[in-house]
Amino acid sequence: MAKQKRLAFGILEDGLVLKLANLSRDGNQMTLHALEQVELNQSLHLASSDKTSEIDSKLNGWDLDKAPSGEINLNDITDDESIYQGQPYEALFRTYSLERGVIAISTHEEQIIKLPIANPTLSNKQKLKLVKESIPKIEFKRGKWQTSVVSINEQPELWIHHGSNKLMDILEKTSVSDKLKYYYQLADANDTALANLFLQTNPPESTDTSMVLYLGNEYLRALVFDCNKWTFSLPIRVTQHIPDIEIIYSKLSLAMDESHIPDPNNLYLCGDFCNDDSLTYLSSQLPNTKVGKWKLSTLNIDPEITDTWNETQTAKFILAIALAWKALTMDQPAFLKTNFLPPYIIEGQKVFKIAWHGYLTLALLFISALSFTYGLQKLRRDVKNANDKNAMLQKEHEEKKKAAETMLSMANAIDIQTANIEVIKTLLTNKNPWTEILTKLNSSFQSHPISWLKNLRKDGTGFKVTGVTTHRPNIVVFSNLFPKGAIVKVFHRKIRSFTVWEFEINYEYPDVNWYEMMEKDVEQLRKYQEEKTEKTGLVTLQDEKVIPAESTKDKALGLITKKTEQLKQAVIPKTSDTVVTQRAVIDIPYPPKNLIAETDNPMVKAYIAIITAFNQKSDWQMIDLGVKFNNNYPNSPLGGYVRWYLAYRAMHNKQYDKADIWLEPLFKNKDSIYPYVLLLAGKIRYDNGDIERAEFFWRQLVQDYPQHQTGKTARKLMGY
Amino acid sequence: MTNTQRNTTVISVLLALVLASGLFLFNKLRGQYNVVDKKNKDLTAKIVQLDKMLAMKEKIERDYEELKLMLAEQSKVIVQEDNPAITFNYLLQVLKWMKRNINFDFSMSSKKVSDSDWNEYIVSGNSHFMDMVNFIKNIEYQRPLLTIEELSVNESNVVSDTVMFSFVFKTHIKTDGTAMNLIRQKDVPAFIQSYVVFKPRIYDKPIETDIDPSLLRIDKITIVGITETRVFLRDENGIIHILSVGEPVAYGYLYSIDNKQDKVIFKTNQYGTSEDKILYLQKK
Repeated sequence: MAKQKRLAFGILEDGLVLKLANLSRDGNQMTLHALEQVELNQSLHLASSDKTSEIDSKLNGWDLDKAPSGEINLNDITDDESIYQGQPYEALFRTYSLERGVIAISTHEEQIIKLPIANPTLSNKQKLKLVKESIPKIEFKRGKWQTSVVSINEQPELWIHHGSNKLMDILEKTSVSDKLKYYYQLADANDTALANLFLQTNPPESTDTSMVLYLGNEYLRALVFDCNKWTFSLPIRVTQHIPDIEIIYSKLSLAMDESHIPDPNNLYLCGDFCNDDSLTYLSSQLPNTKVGKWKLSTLNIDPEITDTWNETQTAKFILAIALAWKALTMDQPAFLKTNFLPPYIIEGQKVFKIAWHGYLTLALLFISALSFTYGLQKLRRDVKNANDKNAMLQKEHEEKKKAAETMLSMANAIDIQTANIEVIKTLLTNKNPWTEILTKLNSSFQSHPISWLKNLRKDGTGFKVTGVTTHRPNIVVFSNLFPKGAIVKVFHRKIRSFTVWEFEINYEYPDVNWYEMMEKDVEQLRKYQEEKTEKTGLVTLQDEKVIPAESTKDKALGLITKKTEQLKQAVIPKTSDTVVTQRAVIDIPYPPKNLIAETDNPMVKAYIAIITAFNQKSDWQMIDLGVKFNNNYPNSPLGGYVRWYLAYRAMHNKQYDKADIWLEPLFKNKDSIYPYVLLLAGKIRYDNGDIERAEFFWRQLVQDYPQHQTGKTARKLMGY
Repeated sequence: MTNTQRNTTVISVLLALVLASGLFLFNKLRGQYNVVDKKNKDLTAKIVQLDKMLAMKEKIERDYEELKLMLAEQSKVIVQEDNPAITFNYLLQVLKWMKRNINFDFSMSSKKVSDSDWNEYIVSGNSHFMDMVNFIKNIEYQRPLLTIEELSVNESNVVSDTVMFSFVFKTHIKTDGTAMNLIRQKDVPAFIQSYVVFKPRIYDKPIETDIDPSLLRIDKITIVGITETRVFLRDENGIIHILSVGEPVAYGYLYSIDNKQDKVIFKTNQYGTSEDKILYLQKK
């Protein structure tokens, strides 16, 4: 994107003439767009002199620091606008739309006091002292002064501009009335503006002495440069309104003589009185000097004005051009750093200027933004990491929960069973009375001879029996056996010489107390659950909790203790008339004492640990130790006993396949443990429901070891 | 107001906005983070517990098997699955526990599906009365929840301990119940006396039982001599037998000898009840 051209308007008041030059800068290229001048009705300074006392008195209370937006609204300070109204410069300003660029104005020569100073770097205190001594007190008090240090021929001078800049006043007035915002870049003294232009446009390698002779309506000045160094500024004082060139030259010669300035190599004529006659005259007077108009060869001319433009115009408007030039080249290092713009104007135009409190707030803002950005980013990262971790943990939890489902289901197995018991209670209500019916009938009929039943069957909501007795009162007894017993009919008949009474009785079903039995189960579960909760903290799955692993062992120990008792009962069951004796005690093998005599032997220790675990009903511990024993001592004579115990435990855990695996190697050697192996093998088959195979083993045992304890046990198991 | 003051004010407002929005966002994110972090801590704790559990998986699974066994040994359990094969197999298992063999007919009657499902079956057959009673008792009192809805028992046509029976029962099912194969035998109470209540005690015709052929049949003998302690009897083949009091005869025994009245009394039970049979010495 091409950089936008910068526009500058140089405005100069010189007597009754107001001049305007419009320049633009594109890179290092300067282009002249317009040169214009208007005649003033009267000098700005003369016109305002009568009114300034009033304005000044109103400005007296003006506090520069409190000036709104750094602008002066003249409407606020005077009601008499006649001094400015209808002036030709208003049309000039409006024509060129000054708001499009920056404005550089001249200062009035009479408002500048030039004080030689010893040191160009004056302290503020020294500067204030000089200013206070040099300008009227009221202006000093109002702060209506600006200073710049200018060095001419290495002699530093303090230039003090005091009072109001009338040119700026009319510009402000126009901008206020037109509601436009003008941007003031520069208010410069004519000398420094011209010197600046010369120094910037003259070739830097030049070794000539040059003189710029500016001949304006009021401002007439000769500036002398030696090898691109400003050495003199010579005022040319004439009293004529339109001075002759001869008088001007005589005044110049006098000033040169007084300053011991030789004829320059070059003389550049410029200003309102730059014309061919003047050039001719000066050329004749200064034969060794190259006299010419100041042409500004580096200045481009806008093609739109080439028809009306000529070099003389450039020379005439050189001071306005110099002002605009300086305004556009203030970023150049070689320009003269003078500017007499009032501070409030400069400050007012710095829209984005920040004071110490602004910097402090900005620093706080920056620190806050930085810390928040950092903190928020860190927090956002933390949240993202936490979310990622959460997703990962959830996935891991789901996987592990799935893997542990079997274990978790243990937690609610008891609750399910408790619920099931309630269901069973409901389902058993008024059900399964038949054993009690048959028991009572059997008992009663046996105790009331001679009586027997012919039929028993369900009848409606109860049941009916048909029977025979030789003793009629028995029928009444029978009718009271069950609830709502009703004798339907009784009739007699003869069997041989006996008279017998046939009867038919209806009953309601008797109540069987299933609840008591069920309650015992519930109570057992409740105790187990309480024990488990107290000791192990095992809780239900519904609570979204899991079984604490530490307590599982305790729980399992308690459970296995209880279970082993039950298993023991299975091995040594109570016999009754209905439970046959297949489940009698099976014999346990004991190793010879010499094999376990060396109690310090690690192998014996390991064996004893296994037996201890077996006796303590610690199944898993026994299995773990047993597996390790077989791995560590594969040829141990105690290995067979260990295998037998492992097979025994597996059998009780209904792991018949595992039991077979443990027992299998023991069939190879018919040693002392072999009969116990046969006995256990038969028991495993029996428990697994394979009666034929069980009897096969036991029969073999009876045949081969008839006098051995296991042989006798086998006979008992087979019911011999 | 100067430009600097205005700019400071603007920056201050920006600072306030930044602080407000920053704090708002910070609190919002902090809240989100706290929520997620708490979840993560909970999950981590659960995973730690699960890890510990999984480290003891084998043990716990064994424990669970034990627990299931314990639950399966409750007085009554409802089975988790049923079909005719399972129930029929269970009936055979019951007979195995009884160490008896009862021949019976078996069929499914109906099937119901509801919250608590059941299948209904019919069993009928002939068996010794006590076997039948024990069969019924086991079905009613063993752990699996089977309910006998109907029972019909009838005496046999011939005088014996055998009865004809039939019963209808339901096998109840619940999906979170116990596997049938885990259920162990329970010791059921032996409260019934061994007596066959369906056996007729008096009958018109004698019981055809195996009688020792060496025993004398009272209706086929004659007294040929009597002493104080003995009686001489001749059978249908003409062979003479000598009996003392208490010695057996077919269906009974010699009860008394009365040599003064030349008579002997036998106690017999040929029709279900005891009868006296008197024989006299035939005077020639």
